[in-house]
Amino acid sequence: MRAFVQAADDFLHARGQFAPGAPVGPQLKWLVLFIVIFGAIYGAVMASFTGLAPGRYRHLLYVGLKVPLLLVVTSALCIPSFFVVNAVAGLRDDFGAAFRALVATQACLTLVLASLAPVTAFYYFCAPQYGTAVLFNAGMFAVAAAGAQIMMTRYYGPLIRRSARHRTMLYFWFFVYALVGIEMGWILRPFIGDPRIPVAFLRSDAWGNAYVVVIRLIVRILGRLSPL
Amino acid sequence: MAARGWLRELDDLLRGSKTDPELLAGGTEHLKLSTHVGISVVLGLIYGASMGLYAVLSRTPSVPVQLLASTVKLPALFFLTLAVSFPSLYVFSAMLGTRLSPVAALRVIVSAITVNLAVLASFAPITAFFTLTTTSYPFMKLLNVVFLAISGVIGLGFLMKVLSRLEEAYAALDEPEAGEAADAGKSTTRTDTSRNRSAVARRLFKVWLIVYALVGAQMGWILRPFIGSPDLPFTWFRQRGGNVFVDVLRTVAEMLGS
Repeated sequence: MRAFVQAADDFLHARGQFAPGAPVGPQLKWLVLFIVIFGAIYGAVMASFTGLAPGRYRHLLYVGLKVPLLLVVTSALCIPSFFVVNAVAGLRDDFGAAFRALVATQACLTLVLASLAPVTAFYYFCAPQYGTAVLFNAGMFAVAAAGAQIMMTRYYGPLIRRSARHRTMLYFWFFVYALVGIEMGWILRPFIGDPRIPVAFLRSDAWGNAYVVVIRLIVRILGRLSPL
Repeated sequence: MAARGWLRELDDLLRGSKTDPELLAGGTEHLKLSTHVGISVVLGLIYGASMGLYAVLSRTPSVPVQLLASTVKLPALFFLTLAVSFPSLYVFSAMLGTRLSPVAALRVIVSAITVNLAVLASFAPITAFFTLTTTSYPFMKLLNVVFLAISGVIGLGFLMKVLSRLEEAYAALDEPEAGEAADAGKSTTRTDTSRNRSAVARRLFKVWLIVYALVGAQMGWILRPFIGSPDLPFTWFRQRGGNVFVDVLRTVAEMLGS
């Protein structure tokens, strides 16, 4: 426990084994552990909106699992194409460092989220509506994502300075990650958990395509707006 | 004796002798955490009592229990806000590149809270005076908002000063490294280092300000009533829901309208 907290603090300060020039291997174990633990902490707090009645505890556990799952599985799906594109671009030798930067960014995202967990818990205590709770969490994720950019700059910056092609690779990563991440987030619903809906690991209508749903929604709204 | 020691400590803090650059270069150990917490609680109790006085003096029948509630709630407001926001405050400070340890960060923030509450407590006689002479509830509410805002700004000024001095001290520590770098033919200079450091301090200050102020404002809302509306019966806490920003605007409109 102590070693874990110490490692997290070293990671935040980019010192010791987490210094940008340090070897990649030993860091990865910690970074993945950060994603799992800190992701689970925020997940559980985010899910507490559903209420703490005896039957609803399971939802906290589910979302505690789902937040790390969302990040890890999305990354796992995107890494192969990222690897191949890097190799084709002649950046194969830097792949270890690039991979570390991406994992570190996600570890940082979960760490910032976990540190914001008391704020979210307090906000829930102020009794918001379901809709505003969703918006609030979107805000917390946005703050955490902005914070994680510091980590991205810290680890990816040296690579980009070495070769501008790394910037293109990063854009590629963002595109693929967002593409997969949005769908993954859709499949793994519910995260916050409407208190009126029974607890379930996944929604009964989970499988589906987020993009198709959004397009249908737009079409329906446009249909309503049209004079015909 | 303790009271005397506390007074001297508070005086030192307000005079700025605790924030002397040379002293801060040696760290934050001289900003004694437990002493500052103690002083802050007492100062908070003083201002809280002056807020609660309204329920005793301007309401018929008077509600003495509101005086007790406000007295306790005011220091609670500051420390509950700190408890909720501290994890994120520390994480942001580490990520932005300061060298504050968790305890050092806590010491700096608590000393800023102490300054904030000292200014607030110094307004207590004025609040009490207006309570004696005014019965307008919206006026009292806004007067308190103004006093809280003024004392908050002064507390923040103190925080900014401590942060930038700490960062300057770190820049001085970096100087030997910068010197070596210059020897090696790189262009890092002392001015660069200290400029970077003060930029770090400013950035951290902005982030802390946003987080602490938002949580604090909402915490004040959740802990209400502090003054106690004359139209409503006493309760320790009002129903949850709503938010403070809308209410301040509504109160301004109410006061201008009546």
